[in-house]
Amino acid sequence: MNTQMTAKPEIEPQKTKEQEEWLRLKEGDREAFAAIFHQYYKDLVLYAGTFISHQAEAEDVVQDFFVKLWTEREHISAVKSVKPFLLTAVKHACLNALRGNGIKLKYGDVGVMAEECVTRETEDYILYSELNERLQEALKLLTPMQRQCFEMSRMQGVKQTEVAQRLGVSLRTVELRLAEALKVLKEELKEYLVLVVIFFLY
Amino acid sequence: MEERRDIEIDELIARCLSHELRPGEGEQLERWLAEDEEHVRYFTRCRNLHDLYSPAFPPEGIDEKKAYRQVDARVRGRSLRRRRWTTVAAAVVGGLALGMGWWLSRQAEVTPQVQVVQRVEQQAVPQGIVLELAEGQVIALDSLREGEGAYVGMSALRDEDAIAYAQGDSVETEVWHTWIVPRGKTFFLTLGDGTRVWMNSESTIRFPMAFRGGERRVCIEGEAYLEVAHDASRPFRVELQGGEVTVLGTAFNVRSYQGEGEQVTLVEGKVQVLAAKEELVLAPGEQAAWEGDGGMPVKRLVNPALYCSWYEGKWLFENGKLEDIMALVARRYDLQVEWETETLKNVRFSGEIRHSEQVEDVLRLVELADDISFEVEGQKIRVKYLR
Repeated sequence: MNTQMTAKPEIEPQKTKEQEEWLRLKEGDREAFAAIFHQYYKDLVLYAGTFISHQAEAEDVVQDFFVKLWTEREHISAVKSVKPFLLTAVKHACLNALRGNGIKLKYGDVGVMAEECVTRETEDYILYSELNERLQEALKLLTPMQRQCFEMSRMQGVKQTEVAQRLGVSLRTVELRLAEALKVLKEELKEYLVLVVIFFLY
Repeated sequence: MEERRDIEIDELIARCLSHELRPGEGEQLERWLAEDEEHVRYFTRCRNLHDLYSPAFPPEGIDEKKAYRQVDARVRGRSLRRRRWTTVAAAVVGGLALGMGWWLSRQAEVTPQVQVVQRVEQQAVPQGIVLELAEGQVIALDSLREGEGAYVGMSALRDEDAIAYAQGDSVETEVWHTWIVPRGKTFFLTLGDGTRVWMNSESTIRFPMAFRGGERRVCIEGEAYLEVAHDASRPFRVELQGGEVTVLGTAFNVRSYQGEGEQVTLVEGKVQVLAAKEELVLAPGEQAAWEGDGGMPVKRLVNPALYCSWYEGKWLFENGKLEDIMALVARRYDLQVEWETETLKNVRFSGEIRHSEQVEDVLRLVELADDISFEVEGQKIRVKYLR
């Protein structure tokens, strides 16, 4: 089994709170269950969506998983970190669901994932909410104009010429502000999202 | 730590993830991945980001509050545990992505099928849920802001398609509220005593904002699933159009649509049904049914899931008549049904259907399970044989 941990130097206060919640869940505390559900549901459904591309099915799998988590709460073990546990469990649930129905895997053509990477994959996995949070934080560092240009062109997919029109500035200005925004974001998100470059900021 | 990556590799990965690899590139990528574990890790991270950047479905469309209510309902109502029927069907699977549990099979015929549902863009028609006050004043649910408490002299919290009344007796006089849920909508309420009520479409509930005195009384027309908060000192009574249910603390479904007869299905606990001066005591799994006003109630043993699963956001059918299925669909999506021939009404199905946003999703399932087709035009569905 994989013993490598990607331990981060700082102690996140969230973690102890999460571990406590986990223990309370084990003891049958509905509030703790609800808290874990609300924190992770959306992220887990989106994660399930990478295996099962129909939303209702993905939600089904995640909901079934949570029901199981509750009914079998006494048997769950203490965990260092909740996220990889949930991700791994949901992944297995998805694969089982797929196997039962003969659904195609989205990345079935790249069957290169070793068993070892699977664990690590879930440890390293960035959740939608995490990325979003980081992005929102980083966006705060931009000037209003840089931010508008970035949001319109990169997040809403508006053409640069149209951005210029809407903001009442020249195309050149849009290009410049966008370049500045990208520079700031690349710098800000660098350590966390090595590869944001390709998809988000490219 | 971060070695400089080949732009070529980045482009290759990008194309792989968007399924645009050119011939030979797949092997090239696999060779690169096999070189080093770090490469695999890098690829995994890229895929992670790609998934976040272009998720399979919009994150805003995931309703976690609704999902929690469904999960919570399942967690509490142990006897209603989901049963997947997928294994029952000798499934004929097309080579396509398809949904678990999203199938229907025709019972009478030989070949049950599992099939694909594709999302068709057409929203369920929005129709407003309203609150009617004793004085006849009508307030639209949508006009109440989310998370807002203490409006119209009451302390209640709005939470999307749900309202929770504050517990306790802060209200001095007995004020009655009436919630009217139209066709095409469902609604969830928590009453002042903690009782939880799932309202089905085209249904009305009337109750005092705070229960006072020796009993808790609500009036229901249409269909609702209730989980009554236990309080032995104050029995909970549900008044139906043609009968009454008395409860101490339990979960059950009442169905009392005008002209469709009355039904009380017990899931947990014990209830007493009073209709036409006849009293019946139900045990879990039992149902009392009678004809509208004045009919004698009859007790029978049923699978409660067939009658109650609607509140978990799905329908279950066991040899159900298409006529009955379409009546549910019509009510849930606010549509009118037209039949090409009467014989269609008697076609029977078994299976599970989730309530999708789009009525087309539901209809497609039925279509694919049999040689039936539907034409939706505005508010009308025409049911025909497929030719």
